[in-house]
Parts: sequence; C-alpha cells; structure tokens
Amino acid sequence: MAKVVLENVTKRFGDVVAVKDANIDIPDREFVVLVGPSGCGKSTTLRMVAGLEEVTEGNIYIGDTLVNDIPPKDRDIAMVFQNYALYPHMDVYNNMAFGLKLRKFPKDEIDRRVKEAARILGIENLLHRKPKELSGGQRQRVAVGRAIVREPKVFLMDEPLSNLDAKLRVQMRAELSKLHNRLQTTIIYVTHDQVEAMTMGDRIVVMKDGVIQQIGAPLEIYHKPKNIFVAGFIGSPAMNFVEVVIRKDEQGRYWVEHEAFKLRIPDEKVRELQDLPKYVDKKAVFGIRPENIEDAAIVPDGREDATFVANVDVVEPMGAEIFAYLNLGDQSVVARFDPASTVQDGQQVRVYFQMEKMYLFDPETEEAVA
Amino acid sequence: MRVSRSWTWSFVAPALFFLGLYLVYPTLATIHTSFLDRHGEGWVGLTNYVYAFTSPAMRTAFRNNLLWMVVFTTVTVGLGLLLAVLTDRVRYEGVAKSIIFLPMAVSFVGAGVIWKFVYAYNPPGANQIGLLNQIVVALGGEPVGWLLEQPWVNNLALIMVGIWIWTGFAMVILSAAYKGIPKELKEAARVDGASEWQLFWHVSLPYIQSTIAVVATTMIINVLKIFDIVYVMTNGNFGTEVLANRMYKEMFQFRNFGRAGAVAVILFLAILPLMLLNIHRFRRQEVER
Repeated sequence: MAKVVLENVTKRFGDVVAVKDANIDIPDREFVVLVGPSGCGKSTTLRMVAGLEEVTEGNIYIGDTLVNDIPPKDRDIAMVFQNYALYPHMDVYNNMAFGLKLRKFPKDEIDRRVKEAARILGIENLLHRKPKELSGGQRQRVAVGRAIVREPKVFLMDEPLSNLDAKLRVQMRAELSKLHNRLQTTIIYVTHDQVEAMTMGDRIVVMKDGVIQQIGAPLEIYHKPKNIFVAGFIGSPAMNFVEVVIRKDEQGRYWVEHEAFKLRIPDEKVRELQDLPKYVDKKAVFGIRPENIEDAAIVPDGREDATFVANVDVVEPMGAEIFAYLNLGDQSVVARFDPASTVQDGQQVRVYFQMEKMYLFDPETEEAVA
Repeated sequence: MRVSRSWTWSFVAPALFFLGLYLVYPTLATIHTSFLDRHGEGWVGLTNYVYAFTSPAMRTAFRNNLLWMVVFTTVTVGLGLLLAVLTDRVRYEGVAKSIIFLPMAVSFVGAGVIWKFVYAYNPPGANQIGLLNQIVVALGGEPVGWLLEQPWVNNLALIMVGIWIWTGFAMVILSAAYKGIPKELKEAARVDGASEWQLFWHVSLPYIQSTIAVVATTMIINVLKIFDIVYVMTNGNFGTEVLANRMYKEMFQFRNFGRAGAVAVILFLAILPLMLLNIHRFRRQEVER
C-alpha cells in the first residue's frame, strides 16, 4: 500500500516523445485509470511505473522512495498483462506461487496465500491445471491471482479485460471493482475503453499523444471536460460538436447560431461562462451530448428558443433507447431519444436541446470556454 | 466427392514403390546379410554380432561413439544455447550469428582437411606447421600429437571439429525458439521478482525445452552416424575408431559383407528409437500449434 507520484515524467524513444511532462499524484488506495486512444502513452506510463521502461526525464516515487533506478523486481509492484502472460509450463498453483517462491516465502505461507487468492477469485478447482487448459476468463483470474498473492504496494493493470468477450468483460469489470474495495490497494489501470474508465476509476487520467489532458473523478470529467478531446472521448455515443457563431441581441441575450438552428443560451449558463462576451460574433465550437437532445414531441415543456426542426437521417432503435442521426446542414449529430419516440428514417422531427447542458469550446485552442 | 479406393491407391503407389525399392528392401537385405558370411553367401547365425560386440576394434568404436555422443551433444547444445542467448543481446547479432554459423557451410571432408593442418604435429625441435602446436611452442611448451595421443586427446580433438561445425546450427534453431518467448512472459517474471538468471532458468529454459530436446536428439543422431571427420583425419587409427567408419572398413577394405551388415544393423537399431522420439515430439508440437 503506497502512494505513487509522477513528477514531470517524460519518455522518449529516439526522437519520438511517448510521454511528455506527466504529473500524476496518486494517493494511497486510489483506483486510478489511465485512458486514451492507442498510442497516447498510457501503457508506456504504466510500464515506467513498473520499471519495464526507463524514465527519460523526471521522477517516479512509489511510497516515499524514488524508484527511477530500481529494477522491477525490487519495486514491490504486481502487474496484470493484457495477454495474461501466464507461465505455460507451470500449473495455476505454481503460476501464482512463483513470485513468492522467488522471494523465499515459507511454504505454508505460500500455500495459505495462493489458496486464499484462489478462493476470492473462484478458481480453487483449477489449481492443478495448466494455462492452456483454461478459458480466457479463467486465465484472466489466474493473472489477477498471481498479482494478489504478492500483496504488493501497487497493482498495475495493462488493459487486462480487452482480450475477453463483451459479456465477460462487464462481469470482470465489476469483480475488479469489488476486489479493489476488498484489498484497499493502490491500483493503476490502463484501458482504451472509456466505459471501463468511467465505471471503475476513483479518478481518471485522460491522455492523448503522450500528454495528460485532464485528471479528475469520472463525473467531473464527464460534466466538465477541459477540452474537445476529453469531451469527445468520455461518454458514449460521443458528444456532438457543431461549429457555431455566438450572437448577442439588444436584450443582452446570448444565442448560438448555425445554418440549421439558432438557440438561446440560458442565463445561468451565461453567468457560468465568464469568457462568453469575448466570443460574441465570433466562431466557437458548440458541444451537446446525445442524451441531452430530446424529441420535442415527448418533452412538450421544452423551451421554444431551444427547439428547432431537423431532418432525421437514420434511426437506430436499441430497445431501451433510440439513436437518431440528425442532419444539420452539412453536419450530422446523434441524438439519444426516449424509446417512446416515433421518429422514422427520412422524417423531419422537432428536437429540443437541453441548453443548460451545453458545452462551448474555443475553435483555436480547443479548450473549454471558461 | 467420394473417391474410390483403387483411385486413392494409384496416387500413393508410386511413392510406396520407390520407398520400398530404395528404403525397405535395402534395410531388409542388410539385416539378412548380417547373418551371412563374408561373401554374403553361407548362413553363419549370430557370428557377426558376436564379433561386433566382442572384438577390440568394435569395442573401441562403441566407446568412442559414446564419448562423441556425450561430449559432442552436450557441448553443441550447451554452447549453442549460450550463444543464442548472448547474440540476442549484441548489437551486430546478424553478423555474429553468420560467423558462428559459417562452418556449417564447409563440408565435413573440407573441415577435416582444415583441422588436420591445425592439429599437424612435428617432433620437438622441428618447425611446427600446425597452428595449434606453433602456438604451444611459441608459449614455450612441448608440441602435442593432437591426433596421436590416445584415448582422450585425439578423440576430443576430433570431437572439437564436429562441435566447430554443428554449434552454429544448434545456435540458430535455439535462437529462433528463444526469440519466440513472449516479451510479456519475461516482463511478468521480472515484475514477479526474478533475477536475470532465475528468469532464464525458470521461464526461458522451460519455454524452449522441447526445442532443446529436438536439437539434442538431432545431434545424437548426427553423432551416431559420425564418419567423415574420423575417416579423413585419422581413419580410425590410434584408438579413434567409430561405428560408421568401422562399417565402411569392413565393407570396402576387408570386403566382409556379413560383418559390415551387422554393424549397419546395430547403428540402425541405435538410431531408430531417437528417430521415433523426434517424430513423436514433432507431431506433438504440430498439434500444440
């Protein structure tokens, strides 16, 4: 159990910068998720914490120890790999016991820990099987078990669920969360799946092109994304972005104007966006999440100045919800309608934007308008 | 589509015919000959086998084949593995491996001739044309009869030549297997707390053990059949006789068909189980893939 601190950490492979000036402060017992598209440097960051990659610049601390020059075996960490990396010639028991044997633990202690971990993970009946005799989900459990028995200061998990099928992934996701509650250990978890990040992390670190974009609790990142990338990455389906012009009328009301619509920005939102006056008569990127677009026929109390008519391109009924692809001039946005909506392909529909949930970004910097 | 049985056989028949003609028939004929006299005419029962297991020449050959088997196999596999692991970490891996593999391209006879020069011996005082003895003399030592001093020096000197040729081969095969070890597996072991040595011993080595076994059995088969090096360098004199060379001598120098046949059968029977083992392993690997 220990905190982990990354201080101005940079990793270069030749001329390529994989991770740039990363600062992350992970308190003890936190479950932190590094998320981003492939190649964003999240795995490299994790591997630097593990000691499998050298740090080019900056410092990494585990507990209070500077670990830059400490080899992986002496860092007291355990890692779960994407492809599990089980030792093929050892049975499940020995796969889990290997790390303890190397550390010269007494036999009965090893036995106790392995059996305890096997019990927690429900793999007691597999202890004498070889990895090749196990299914993907079982291998996954063994890989986690191998980490648990070590009782390390920090767990590192590199996309541990991405080789599992969708159903099993959801199940293991919940189990790993439970496991964290039970073990109360610091976990650093890497994934490209924003759903995993949202559901499992105490905090999320969103990365792109080797640069940390935002660090925060899942809902904080969801509600207050710092820039267009984070806004588009977190949430499914992704947030819609439309280029608009900000207008201010004689009554001092603010509007977002697009060829397909002109919608009023509610007063409380105007108060929130202190830099808004700077964008008057200028371009801005307007963001709205699919779940914040409604079929006006179903939400009759929607404000008129946030309602307009759009052409429906395609409708995807999902059962519990309906995804409607709307044409706004040359752009397409996705709306998540209530299943009661009766829109059809090719129809026109009156849509209502929940403008109090809108986002606004600077088109140059792509940062959220403060 | 159903294919009639006779149709199937007609495809297999040519291969079966030639295998029978060139493999099965000679084998059976050799076994038959091994029970006949020196002209391959009169039945002599087990006489040739009695000779093969009791005569001093043959006992020397057995001893030497055993020596070859142990030393040659251990060194080629061990050294090959060591080189496979070491070259994996050097910058000019390709160049280093090519150089080590190069002797494989030299024929055994050629290698025999080359090493005969290296081992050449002149009595003390005379000019040493042999590289090895020149070095020994230059360092102030007495020249050594590398191919004369029996039983250890000359046999080991011959085995050295075999090792020089075959180590590169063992290295290449083992290196391919070593490179096949998944990177994550090594990383997992490092995180688990393994030192480089423990990693090699507990993870890498078990991972490539079946390849090691295949290379080792291949080497043993090689060594049981060893002939060219001995034939060229000593012709089995000074206690360096081996089975294959003895077989050749019985057949083509002493014209004793029966004895040559018996030695051939013994060699065949010695190699057979190893061959089967290799085939079995190979099949199992195919299944696992």
